[in-house]
Amino acid sequence: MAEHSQQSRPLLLFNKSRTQPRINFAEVYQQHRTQIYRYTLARIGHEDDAQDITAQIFLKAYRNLNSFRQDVPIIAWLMGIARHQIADYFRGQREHVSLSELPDIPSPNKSPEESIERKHQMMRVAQALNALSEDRREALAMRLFAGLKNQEIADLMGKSPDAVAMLVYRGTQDLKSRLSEEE
Amino acid sequence: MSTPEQLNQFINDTQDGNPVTPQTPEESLVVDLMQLANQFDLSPEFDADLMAQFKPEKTPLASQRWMRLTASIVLGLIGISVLIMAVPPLRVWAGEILNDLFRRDTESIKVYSDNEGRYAFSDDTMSLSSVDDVKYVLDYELALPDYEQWGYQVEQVSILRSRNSIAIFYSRATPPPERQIGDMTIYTFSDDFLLLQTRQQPLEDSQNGVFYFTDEQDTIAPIAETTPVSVGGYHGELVQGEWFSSTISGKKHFYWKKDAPVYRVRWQDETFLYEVELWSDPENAHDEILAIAGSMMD
Repeated sequence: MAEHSQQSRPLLLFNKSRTQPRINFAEVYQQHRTQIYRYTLARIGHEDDAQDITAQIFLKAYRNLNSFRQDVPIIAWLMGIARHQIADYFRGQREHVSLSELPDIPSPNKSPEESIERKHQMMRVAQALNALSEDRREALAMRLFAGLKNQEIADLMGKSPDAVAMLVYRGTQDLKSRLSEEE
Repeated sequence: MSTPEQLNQFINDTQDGNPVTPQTPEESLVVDLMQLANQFDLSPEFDADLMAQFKPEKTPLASQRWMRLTASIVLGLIGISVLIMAVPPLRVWAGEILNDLFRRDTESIKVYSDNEGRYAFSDDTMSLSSVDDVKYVLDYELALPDYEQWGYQVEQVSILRSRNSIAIFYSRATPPPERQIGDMTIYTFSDDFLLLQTRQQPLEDSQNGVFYFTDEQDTIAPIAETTPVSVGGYHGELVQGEWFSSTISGKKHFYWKKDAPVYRVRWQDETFLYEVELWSDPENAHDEILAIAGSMMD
């Protein structure tokens, strides 16, 4: 008698690979470098340090491609590494850089005044962001600086997209009041 | 003051490049922050140094020679193919050869017979949750049908890396968990239906012109009835039927049921083998599967 069940036909269902996937990491880097860098910058506020940490994030990802689970988007995996690297950075750097220590090397496309001004702005935003609750800070940095969608952030944070939208909303209000207080 | 929904929409519009004007303090701050973020990029020198570390290794010289040889052979074959397609008697002969290649002979069919009813999977296989990530694994352009038009969603993407083969499973969210078509039950897949599957494989990685995924790949039976079809101007065939199992003395045996509501269209172009498999109502199956297959070639 025929068995009318899923197992009765030669259906292709595969276990997850345990070997290193053939991933073109140069493409991965090109596609996600700006997202990761701007997210890192928003969290750290210091351009040069953010560049160094971005390099660490991608080098770590490159060396650990074996651990990349193919059932999650690669940006989620990269963002997870970024969060760990940033946490390590803050653990090793208890003393924040004061505004007076900001480098004054001008950007080639900006006047020295503009370049310093935007560095100041970035540092202020990063410090205000870091004063928010962790969830609001993460949601806001990933949404506005990494340019992720609510669904992607929700997958990363283990929350619903609506919850992420609320975190971004509350985070924006909170950030606004903190930035206003400084002025 | 914005609502969370309004702010979310405003951010989406801004990120998508739609023209929007901030109306609330929250929206103004969002614009300021995004404009600030856009002023920062990795320095070109730093970016170039980092990028250099991720560039794929250059192909060894021996491999380059092999690739040149392969390219020469392929060009030769293309020339022969053009000649065959231009001469009607040769074209008929080629069609017959192709039909033979599409099916394996009785000896080569491996009937699946373990007691678990499962395949042995190799490390060579991998699963992805999204077709968006396929580009990181396969070098070629994926042929996707307009699956959303027919109400399908991608359920699972499976790849056999050594053969550059891909199988994409789609399901429909709307039908109930089980459906009866004639005397057949449509089978469940996860919490949904398996109603559609598409496959693609470079010809050079196929098994003598037969789509290869695993040793136990579901080929069609020699008794299967096939109908010649055209997909995007290419020769192919439509097959109805499916393998079923029965258990005798504790061991599974497989047989081919030619009236099962399972349909396949198989065809190839100059570069790839393609297959579409559809579980569907016999009344609509032919039109639907040919439309789905055709959309892969658009």
